[in-house]
Amino acid sequence: MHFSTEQELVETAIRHLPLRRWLRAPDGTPVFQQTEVRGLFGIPDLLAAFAPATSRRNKPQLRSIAFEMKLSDWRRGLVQAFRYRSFASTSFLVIDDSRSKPAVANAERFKRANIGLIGLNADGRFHIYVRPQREAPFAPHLENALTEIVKSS
Amino acid sequence: MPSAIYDNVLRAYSDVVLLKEGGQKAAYRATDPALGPVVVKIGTYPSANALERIRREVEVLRGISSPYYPANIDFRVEAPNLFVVVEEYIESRPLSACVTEFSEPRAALLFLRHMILGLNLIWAKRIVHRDVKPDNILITADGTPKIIDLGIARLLDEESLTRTVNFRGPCTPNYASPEQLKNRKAQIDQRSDQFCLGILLVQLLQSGFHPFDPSVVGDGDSIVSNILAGSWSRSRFRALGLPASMEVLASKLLGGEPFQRYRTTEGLLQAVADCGGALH
Amino acid sequence: MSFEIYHQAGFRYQWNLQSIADDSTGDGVIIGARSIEKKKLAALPSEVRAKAIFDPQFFIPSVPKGKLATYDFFPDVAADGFTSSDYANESAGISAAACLAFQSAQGFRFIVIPTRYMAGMPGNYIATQDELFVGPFLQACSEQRVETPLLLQVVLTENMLKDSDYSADLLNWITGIRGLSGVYLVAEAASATKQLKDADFLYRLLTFTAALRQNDMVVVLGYLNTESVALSLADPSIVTMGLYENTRAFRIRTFEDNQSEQRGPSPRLYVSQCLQWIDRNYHGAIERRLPGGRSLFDQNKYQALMFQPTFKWHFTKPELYKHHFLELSRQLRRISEYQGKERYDHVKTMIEGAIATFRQMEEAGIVLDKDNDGSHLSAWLTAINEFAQDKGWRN
Repeated sequence: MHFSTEQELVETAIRHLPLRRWLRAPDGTPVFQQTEVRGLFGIPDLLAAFAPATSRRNKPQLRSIAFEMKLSDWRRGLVQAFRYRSFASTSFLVIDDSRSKPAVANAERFKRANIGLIGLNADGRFHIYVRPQREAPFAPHLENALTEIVKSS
Repeated sequence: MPSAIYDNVLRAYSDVVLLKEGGQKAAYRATDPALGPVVVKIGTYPSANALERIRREVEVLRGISSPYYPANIDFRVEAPNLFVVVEEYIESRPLSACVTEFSEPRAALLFLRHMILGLNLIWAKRIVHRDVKPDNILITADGTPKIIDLGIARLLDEESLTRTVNFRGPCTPNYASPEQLKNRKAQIDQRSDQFCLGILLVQLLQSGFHPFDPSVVGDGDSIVSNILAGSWSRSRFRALGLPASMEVLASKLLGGEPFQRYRTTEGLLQAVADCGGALH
Repeated sequence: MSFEIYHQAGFRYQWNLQSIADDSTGDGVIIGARSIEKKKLAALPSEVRAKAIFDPQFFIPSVPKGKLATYDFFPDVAADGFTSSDYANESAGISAAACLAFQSAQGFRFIVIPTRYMAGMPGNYIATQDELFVGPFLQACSEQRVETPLLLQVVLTENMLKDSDYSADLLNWITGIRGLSGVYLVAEAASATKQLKDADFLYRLLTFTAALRQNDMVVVLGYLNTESVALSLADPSIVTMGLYENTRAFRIRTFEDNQSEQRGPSPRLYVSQCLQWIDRNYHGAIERRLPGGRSLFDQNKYQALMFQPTFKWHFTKPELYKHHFLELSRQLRRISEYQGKERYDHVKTMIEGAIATFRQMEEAGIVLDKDNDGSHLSAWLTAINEFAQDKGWRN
């Protein structure tokens, strides 16, 4: 059974993806989570972030995951997800798992770009086809902008 | 035999010899008692428009004083519906009678240069000849061409005299540019005459063989269809072994669109000069 | 023949002038009436005006957008409300005479006969332009005994360019106008992409330009982006480069009355090896992932400044554009040293080199969007190869 809209993908992702665990945010700590975040580079369908209270050298190291949702257009999704790497430490394309075959066949491109690929089902089950490495965002000025967005939320 | 209605006019001359006749007019060589040898053109004009066309040709010639055109001596209208034009007589032959005598490249280029200089006198007045062909070019004893019969010349600045929509405008089809054949009036300018010069150039170099002759080139069954298709005897021309600049000159003159020919007379003359240089 | 480089100046024309003066990035400037008041234009130094071309921008004669209203010869101003029939009967001659007198008085290098923009492929294009502009201007030229060379401005829509019969008619018309030295050609692509990606459009523009040049006409190609590199093969007299995007591609909507303010674009930097502007937000990915990535960004005085941590990147920063002018002008000057087949070989090598660079980026896992990638380059290669085939430059 497949999704009809990207909005359904977003809602299912929010309900079922273990964002807190992926961000390594302890229970009870605030996790930033917002859809359609503007003012960065592209508009991620879902953005989750966690700012640890302290870190090495007292420098706040924001942990962030950006998600682009696509029913099937994996090429466009990859382009958009890559944009989010300019401000997020990890970025995923989440695609309707019933239509994920073409994307999976191009998994190598996702690996090369260090962009994650998740196939999501309507019942909430998901499969991580490409698991990205956590990496510092490419654009420090956008990382700073995201930090400000998270702080002010 | 002179038409009876012309007799009254011709009575004033002696030694009257018919040169050519066709349609509603005839041309005679005659001796004027005061002026000596002259050409007398007589004809009937079927309409005011037709008379106006003849009057226009006379006006143009009177405005030019050049060895490339016969001098106009007299123009008058006589009843009923008769026009009379008297021009200087020039001892000459039409090019159509000696077209094989210009096959040597230098002679052909010299002829072309004369024609350009001559036509430029009317081009400068924004007049297009529209009927440049061997029958309308007289060759004098020293080889200089004389251009005659501006009867269908078009003044670019004036309204067309006829509003008839014809498939083909006034022209001689086998010596007409594509835009004349298609009657695209807005595109007819001096470059249309250039196309005809291109036909003449290649015809002279090919010892009289028309460049669009269907027996030599093209899928068409006529010269006109080959002109419209842009198929000319390029390989036959190449076989003449002339410098490349001459093929460029011929190709440009025979360009299917006016913009493919020479925009200015200066540019054309330069190209002709360059060909002359290449022959040395 | 070698060609010149002119800046297509708009709102920030002072930056263009500075770039030319300080960095020798151009041979002159085309100044549009919409961007500068008449009195300010007249106050520019005479040595600037002597090498300048004035663009009256009569594109939409009924809309005096921006500074157009300061020019009393602009059709809507001259006619106190423009309609074609009234203008033809009453004001065309007066407007033409005034526009011509102004251009003469300013000592511009060429005098431009403006024409209006007409969408699609109108059947009355030539007749309209002749009646409203060409005829009156030529008449005024004769009366004022103008000796400055004349350029006819022609705005080609994509439809006009791509229809062989229509474009032939235009060429016949342009080359048949007596007294013209050349054409100031502006071509509008239908697609609004940042780079020209239509091979057929580019090829047709190459052949149209070449046809004019074969008629010994001066050809100024206006509103160009980096496709000036490809268009150089048609042997233009002058190519242009511009600052903001509205001077690097012609869009009639920028002259329309109801155009809403556009959001400012993201700052982008021209990368000469890529023949592309790349969004600043991708620079970090390139530096980090591409071997030697930092060196991809052209080294010059502006780059050194822009890559300092304190530099505030914004599309309104002049350094971005002065950097672009410096690099693109270098590329164009180099191209201009070649002729014919050698120029084609050189430009082809540039484009293939840029394609190879984008391939390396892709292999390094850098995924650029369609406004930043090299997707325009294959279209350029197709167009120049076809043009070179026509010219007999390809074995």
